[in-house]
Amino acid sequence: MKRSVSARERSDDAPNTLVGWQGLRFVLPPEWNVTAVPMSAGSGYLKIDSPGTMFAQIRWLDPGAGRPNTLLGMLMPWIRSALRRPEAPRKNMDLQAQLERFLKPKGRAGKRLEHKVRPEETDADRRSVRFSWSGKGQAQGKIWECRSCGRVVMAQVVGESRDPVADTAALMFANFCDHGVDGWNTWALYDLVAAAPEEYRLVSQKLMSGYLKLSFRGASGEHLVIERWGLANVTRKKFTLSEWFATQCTLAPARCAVEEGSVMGHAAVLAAGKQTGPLAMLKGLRDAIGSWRPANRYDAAVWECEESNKTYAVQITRSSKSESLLQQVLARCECH
Amino acid sequence: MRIKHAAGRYLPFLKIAPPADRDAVRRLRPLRNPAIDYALNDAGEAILSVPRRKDRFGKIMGVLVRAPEVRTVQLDEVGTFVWQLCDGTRTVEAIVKRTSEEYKMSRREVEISVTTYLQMLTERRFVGFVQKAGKST
Repeated sequence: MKRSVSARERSDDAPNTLVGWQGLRFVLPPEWNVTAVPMSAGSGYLKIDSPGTMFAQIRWLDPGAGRPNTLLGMLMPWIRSALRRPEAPRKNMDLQAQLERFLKPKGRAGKRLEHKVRPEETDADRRSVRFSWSGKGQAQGKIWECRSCGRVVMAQVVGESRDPVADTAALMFANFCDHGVDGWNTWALYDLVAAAPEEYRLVSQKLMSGYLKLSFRGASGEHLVIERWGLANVTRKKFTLSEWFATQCTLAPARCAVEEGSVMGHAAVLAAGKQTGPLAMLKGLRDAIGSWRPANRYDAAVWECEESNKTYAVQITRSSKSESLLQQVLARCECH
Repeated sequence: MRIKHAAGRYLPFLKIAPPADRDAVRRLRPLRNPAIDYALNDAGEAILSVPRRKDRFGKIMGVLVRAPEVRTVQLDEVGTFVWQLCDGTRTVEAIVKRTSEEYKMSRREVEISVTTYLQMLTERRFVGFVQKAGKST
């Protein structure tokens, strides 16, 4: 039986670079590439370089993420709902102070920095302050606090005086999204566009030339691994897709049903199975603390996209309740 | 690395070269060593015939370890593609662009791989770099 997953329509212009990381999602001109990525979701720093002299920097802070995981903290939502008390209003962050701290002259180079800070703007979703500075180069940026997720993001495009910084900043801020949409976070870098459920945390990443791997963990022991290999016409010359799956997909249990199918119109290998054995039972017992359904079901899809000359693999270890998780992840992947 | 380069700056007799500027590297024109012959095998991969070094070190090593006059080195498909582009007319930037188009990879990924590969070829004296027309290093 052949299963099929249709390609999702691209919402952004094809030549532009889509960047997605830890819930942030924005578009930059073509050929811009991520050069610094953080692992943490709570706060971090992202740097994207242009082929020339411009670059974009994004810093974010999630004030709620650093809250200590105490027993009281965990019980508080239940206590509030039992007492019918609304959650305490979130304290607004002083954006001007944050910005002043960032733009404060530092060292010899900082003395020549001239900056302009515009008055605070407020709309339905954000409180924001735009700024620009010039000195050794120029920059245009914005700092804002998202009302729905509470995240504070500061983003700027930096370049030399001849660079089109204003146009690039306008493009970046036009569709900057600071949190996931419909419960899914977009993860996009180096031609890889994928998505993972918002509650899944990035636990490891490998960003190598020609090979990308993002590994996520869910709250109840679920595991999601998204991999992308470049140079498919070279690396897969001596392997069929089934052989590639057998050699590269290391999460696969010893016994799993492998069948041919299609993903986004490409020939694919789809696998499904169940992890058995003493180790899987112990893992199931461990996961049972958080959930009565252990994540022992395995699903995977491997496909080659001829248009982009890349091989993709998505592997999932899930519980029995999330039956269609693989299909949902595949529906949000973009390969060409 | 930073300490090493700082030492090279203040102690010039150590002859430690400063780190290369990215733009300067992209403007270099790699040129295959004319002493190295190459032929393509059936799979389209280059087989290089590398002659033994003719300098004093090469002669001593040749006597000590009985090194052959010519040794062969086989490049893989992508390596062969880049090797054939190293003709002294194309810049590193042009080679990166051409490779990126051929293998449909992002420029950044190709740039990292190609510069590392060219660095390796340079260390083995398989390629040099043309600075100006007719002048190579």
